[in-house]
Amino acid sequence: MTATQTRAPEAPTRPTDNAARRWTTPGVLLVLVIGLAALPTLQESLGLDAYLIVFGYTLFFWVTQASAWNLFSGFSGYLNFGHAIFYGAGVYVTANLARESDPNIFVAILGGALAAAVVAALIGYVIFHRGLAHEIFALFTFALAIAIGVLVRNVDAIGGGGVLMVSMVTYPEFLGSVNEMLYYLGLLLAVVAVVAAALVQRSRLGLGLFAIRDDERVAETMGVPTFRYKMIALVLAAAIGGASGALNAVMISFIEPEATFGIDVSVMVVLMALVGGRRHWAGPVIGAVLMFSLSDRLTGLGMTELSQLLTGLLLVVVIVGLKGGIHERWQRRPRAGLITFLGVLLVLLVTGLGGGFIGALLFALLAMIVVLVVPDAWWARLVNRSREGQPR
Amino acid sequence: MSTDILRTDAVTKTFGNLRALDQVTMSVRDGEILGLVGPNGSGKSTMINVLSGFLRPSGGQIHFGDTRIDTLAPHRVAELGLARTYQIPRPFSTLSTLENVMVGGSFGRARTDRDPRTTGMQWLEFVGLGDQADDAAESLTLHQRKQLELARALSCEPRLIMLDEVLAGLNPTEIEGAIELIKSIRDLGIAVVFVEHNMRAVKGLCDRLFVLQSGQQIAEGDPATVLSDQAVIDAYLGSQHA
Repeated sequence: MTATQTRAPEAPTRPTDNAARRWTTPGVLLVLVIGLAALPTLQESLGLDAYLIVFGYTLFFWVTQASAWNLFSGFSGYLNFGHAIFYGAGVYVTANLARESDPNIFVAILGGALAAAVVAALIGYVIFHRGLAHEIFALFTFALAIAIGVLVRNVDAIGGGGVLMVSMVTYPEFLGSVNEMLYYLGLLLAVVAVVAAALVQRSRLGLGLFAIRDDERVAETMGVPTFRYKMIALVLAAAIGGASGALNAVMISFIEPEATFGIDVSVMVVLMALVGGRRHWAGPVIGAVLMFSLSDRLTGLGMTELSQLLTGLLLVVVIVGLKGGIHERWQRRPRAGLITFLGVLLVLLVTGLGGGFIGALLFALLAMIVVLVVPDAWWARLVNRSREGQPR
Repeated sequence: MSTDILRTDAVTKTFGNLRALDQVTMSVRDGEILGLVGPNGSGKSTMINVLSGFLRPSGGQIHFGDTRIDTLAPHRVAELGLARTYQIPRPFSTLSTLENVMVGGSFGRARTDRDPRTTGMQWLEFVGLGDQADDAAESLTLHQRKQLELARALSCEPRLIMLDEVLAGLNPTEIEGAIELIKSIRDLGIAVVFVEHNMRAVKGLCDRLFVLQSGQQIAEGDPATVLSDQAVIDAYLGSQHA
């Protein structure tokens, strides 16, 4: 007889979430994705700036990379400071395919995913099989990214003696211009990354990774196959990062080892996930949108240095004021956060005060952070005062 | 009638020059509560770590049922039906109380068609944590954390559960509740290895005792006989009553 059959009387069943609530988030996201997919077609008739297409692609790129990073590192707690290894593997697959002739973009994306996955499997095996600690993983990936950059610079078979060009790729005609193709495929990869992260989060794999993050040893004694789970998640994260890197090679077209494997991508994805929140798939999405809009606006105004300063400042505010990231804080005041965001966005779009869509998006996000960052005690007092003011 | 569920054959564990376990041969019978006792530093915790697969023994063999487990990864040992609690509770601190227990129900032996949320809730009710299901594990009191340790180990649906000083730090009322709980665990047909310093609880609960001193076994048998053994009194009780 098993323990279950002789178990104590059944606990009363808890009310399950109703179906309507369960489908709200996927429904809203689906509408959002359809809207984004229609944007290039509607852009001219809506009188929107053509730059939005380029902005959109780069935004999708960061959403993809940050989500991929978070799927392994955010969920498992093993901070990867060398995500550029996987990104770069993808970039260099496209770059090398482009040496002979114009490669098919889908072949490049799949090749990039595969190359990054193989690299991740090797790194994961070396680190996890020996049961090395979190700090070692962080340092190892950081150092390895730099080492690979140097290697690619010096091995002509991979790096082409310093610079490789991706001038053109082949793709189906219905995807339109190169920028439109980048936009559509970038959106597709972002959807894949976000959906993958959300599915992992809700799966047994996700629960196992969360257990590993909190106490790996206990997780292992409770039956979580920790080595296998870390390998699966790392390889999956790398494959998505590599696929997105392969596409991004078309965007940058002038491929250099230092820029590719440097700390830009590696650090940016960590910051985006940290700012947005690492415990939920939505965290890196919020972080990527916020940080990329901010840097885009400031760079657009010719204030690249100020951009770095403000990025740093934002990071300080979030780390000190929003422990656990924006998303975690948002979960405590979802309505106030959402109303602020949508309200400010709408007002700025209608009045044109935000200086276009991107500015409006940025200011709406910043306004939301201000609402979320208010300490709980003050917040309670504010809410009470406004309630007292209302007629009965 | 009862068969051995766990058997160690001359298990030795050394840390450098220290012999934490020295040729220990111990068996646990199906459905019994075996008290594993001995003074501080006698090797009880090392024994549990070796049995659960966390430490590889330096010598000897361990069998769980018919399976040799001293060469297996800990999660494989868990899958076979061996669970443990920690002396200092180690909850998954960022997960809710229920999620903590769902980990057990989602893996290994306990992984079935049933929803781990439902079975997890049943185990929380079983140990008396039903009302705390949605609380962050971090916010639990010491007593509740100890209860969570039990619920979490039980959620793996073990055939043998090793309890590492579950009574330490509890007040007399809480201790009584915990003792009743351990009895009801045995009533579920789960064998228990009970590591404890509280001798009253040990006498009240255990079917048999196994005494370690400096990594060596010095006595084994029914509680009354073992506790009147002069070697045990000298080694263990003596040090307390001195």
